[in-house]
Amino acid sequence: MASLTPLPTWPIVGHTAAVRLLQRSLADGHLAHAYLLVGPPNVGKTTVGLYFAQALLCEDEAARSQGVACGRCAGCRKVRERTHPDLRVIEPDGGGEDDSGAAAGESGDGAGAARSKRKAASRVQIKIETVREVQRDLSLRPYQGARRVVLLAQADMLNDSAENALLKTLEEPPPYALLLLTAEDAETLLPTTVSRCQQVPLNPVPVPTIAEALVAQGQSPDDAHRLARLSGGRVGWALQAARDANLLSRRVTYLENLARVLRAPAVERLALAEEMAKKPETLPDLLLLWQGWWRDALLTQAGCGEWVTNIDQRPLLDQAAQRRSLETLAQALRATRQTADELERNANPRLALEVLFLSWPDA
Amino acid sequence: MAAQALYRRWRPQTFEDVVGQSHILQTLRNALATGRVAHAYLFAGPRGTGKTTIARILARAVNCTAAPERRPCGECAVCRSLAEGRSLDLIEIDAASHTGVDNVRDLIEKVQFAPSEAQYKVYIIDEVHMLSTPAFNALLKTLEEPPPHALFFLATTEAHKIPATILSRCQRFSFQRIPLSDMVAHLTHICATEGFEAEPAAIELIGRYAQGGLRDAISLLDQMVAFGGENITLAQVQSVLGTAADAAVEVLAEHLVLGDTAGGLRLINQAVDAGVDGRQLVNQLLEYLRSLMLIQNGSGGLLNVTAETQSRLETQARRIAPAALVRAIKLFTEAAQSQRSALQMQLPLELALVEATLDLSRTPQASGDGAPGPAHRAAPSAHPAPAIPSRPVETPAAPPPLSPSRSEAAAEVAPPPRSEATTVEGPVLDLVSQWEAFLAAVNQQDKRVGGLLKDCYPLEATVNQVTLGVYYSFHQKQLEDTKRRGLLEDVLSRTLGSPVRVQFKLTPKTKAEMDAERPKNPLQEATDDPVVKEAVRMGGKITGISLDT
Repeated sequence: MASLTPLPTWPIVGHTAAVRLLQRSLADGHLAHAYLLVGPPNVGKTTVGLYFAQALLCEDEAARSQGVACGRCAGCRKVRERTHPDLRVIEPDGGGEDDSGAAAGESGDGAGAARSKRKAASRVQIKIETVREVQRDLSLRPYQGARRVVLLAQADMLNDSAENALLKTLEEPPPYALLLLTAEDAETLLPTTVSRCQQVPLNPVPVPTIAEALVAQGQSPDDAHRLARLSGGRVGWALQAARDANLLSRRVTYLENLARVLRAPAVERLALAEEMAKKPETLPDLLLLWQGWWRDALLTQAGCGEWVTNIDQRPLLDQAAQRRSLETLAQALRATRQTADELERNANPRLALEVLFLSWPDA
Repeated sequence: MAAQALYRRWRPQTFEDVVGQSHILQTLRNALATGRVAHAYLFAGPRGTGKTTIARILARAVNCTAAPERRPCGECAVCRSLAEGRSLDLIEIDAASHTGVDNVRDLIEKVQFAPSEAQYKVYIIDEVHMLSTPAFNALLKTLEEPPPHALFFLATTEAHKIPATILSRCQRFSFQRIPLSDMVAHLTHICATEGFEAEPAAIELIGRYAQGGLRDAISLLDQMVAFGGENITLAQVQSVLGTAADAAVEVLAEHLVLGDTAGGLRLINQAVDAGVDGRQLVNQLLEYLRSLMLIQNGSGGLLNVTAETQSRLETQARRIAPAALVRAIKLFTEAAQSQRSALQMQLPLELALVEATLDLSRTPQASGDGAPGPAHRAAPSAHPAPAIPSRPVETPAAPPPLSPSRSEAAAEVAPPPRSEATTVEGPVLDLVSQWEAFLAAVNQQDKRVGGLLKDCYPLEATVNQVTLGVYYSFHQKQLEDTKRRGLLEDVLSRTLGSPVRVQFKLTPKTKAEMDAERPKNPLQEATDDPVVKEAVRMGGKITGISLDT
């Protein structure tokens, strides 16, 4: 069987199964006309999608037959520069203007960034006009290669009419068209959309794999391991954090905030809530991190310490676990989660935080 | 090189090829045979059940030149030109990207022209639910009385979005999800024809996952072939779908039944590390718990499982209390509904597991004697609520009523005594909060006892003894009857979750006096107030009460 010949690898960290699926499809000519890459933020969906596009549009026949991009031809270069006439990349907020700086910053801004974006802007969406443009695009034959590729990043940002408008195209596009969609969660898309695509799950990447990649980038093994662990499998976050010290220091600040709240008596907690509510844009990240912390405390208390994400917090977590019952911790976690949900639904940040802080157990 | 997607290659071309939907096919065939094809049909139903497909077949069938029972023949010139999409007489409209009234006006204008080669001009309007309201309205007259040569086939997944005026002008067909057995048979047929080797279990999992959408199933099959070549194994399907092995789900449920939090958490984390999708795991667990629930309620026959599995399920179902199971299902359902991606999906799942196991480990021992801290009850702010126990506790505890006029009274509330030596808060708290439920439960069993209880109120409760206050000696006598007392103790024990004995005590006051007294106690009312309670919990003190009426 053809699929047994070893193929050159993709320059992608982790995601072996997904890469294998895409690469095999390309090499064996089993391509579907639409793929849906599903995974948590910053796990590498767009990265995988772009590389796949590059491999699809690569002009080197030999490389393509092995399911990779040669990386040298004009096609590859243009894909990297995002100037390829047969590739269309659509991102909800970039709106198509893709200066690379913004792209990097956007992919690395921490897990919460995507979510806060989602929340901050019910306004940020992909509109039906964009879909119509895609349809117009796809009605033309490719200029250069054999294919036209559309990469629709964050398809969950399609608004209702846009998503519906895409359905027919997604079902029966012209033979040369290939659509790549990415989404955090297939359930946020219409079932009719999902059913028209091949779903490719991108799971969080194992910690050692990320650590390896970081070491290859020149991090010390200790740092690499710590970062990989903290990333929770999100490659993009880990790479970004390795480059950008701010990201880490922000994380430390957030966790210090948590410790401060826990130490404070009720009245002071109110003051802290007021202080933190002044920066509502940080709250989604903050709450996400805190949820992770409470989860870690819960795991520690239950005796499953080996799966803790925030390993640098060990002493604090141990302390929390010793002093509080599983039930108290579960309640704190639930309250934190609920607050995050409420904030996403536009609750008053200060009130929400006050309620949350008062519900947390005393130190 | 661009191999067409399997589901497109396998799109049925004749009525015979269509899987399922026999009720629709029969109707349409009869209509064709008798020449009674309506001028407008609405095909509604979930994704991947054959709406567009049947619309296209029907378009060919009405125009086919072969004998009625062979239509569509697929061979005549008309069939072929329609199938190849080069006929001018089949107009397929994507209503979702042509939503406006202008698109419809354009259509109406062109409807008037006779078909070029076929007998009928067929309009297939797909995703019709996305048309704007003006567009729908513009379509009304044409849809009601189109020219004799025009047919409209509308297809949608969301029939509820279609205006009633449109619905009433169409013959409506409701498409159903394709049953698992049909789906499996069809997938097996495809595999055989395409030369794929597939394990039956793998096919079944694909079929289950597709949940009635044949396109999903075939698409998944396609993906399997792309992923692992033409040998499709169960393990492969599981790894692509991110589902856990059935055995793992069973073990997870076992941890749940045992109330083993640590074991459950460990299993979840191991599974996720191994590439299982958190959401899939929740859904699988829910499916499993549902089986347990069905068995507990004597509907095990609904399950489509082997005898061996069934007996294992039955053993497990016996070991978990029905109420706890229902609560666990609720918790996990909630976890499944939270819209989070794989990374954050794990967290709701873990949280639900912890809460469900906690719940289980609590139920058997019920009210906590000596349990650490008051945080033991399910109530979210479980700190000692000072007032509740003292409300039913009678006269002596109540301070003299303050004058009901606008007066200010200074009253200091000492930090509430943790417990009053003889009374334990837990049960009384429960009894007061569950009094109504208790009454209802008694009423269900014996209306007379229920009636008698109306003149009672909870007076005092310890761990295993409850004293009910009675106003009249007649009631006391009636209630002290062994049978009635037995019934009360029974119901009460169930309500509180631990065995209780019941005593009755006659109060010196009349009922009217008691009723009159209660609302007259502002301090009591104030301390009962949830806001005040919360304030006291956070270290506040009641320094005065001002009445304002």
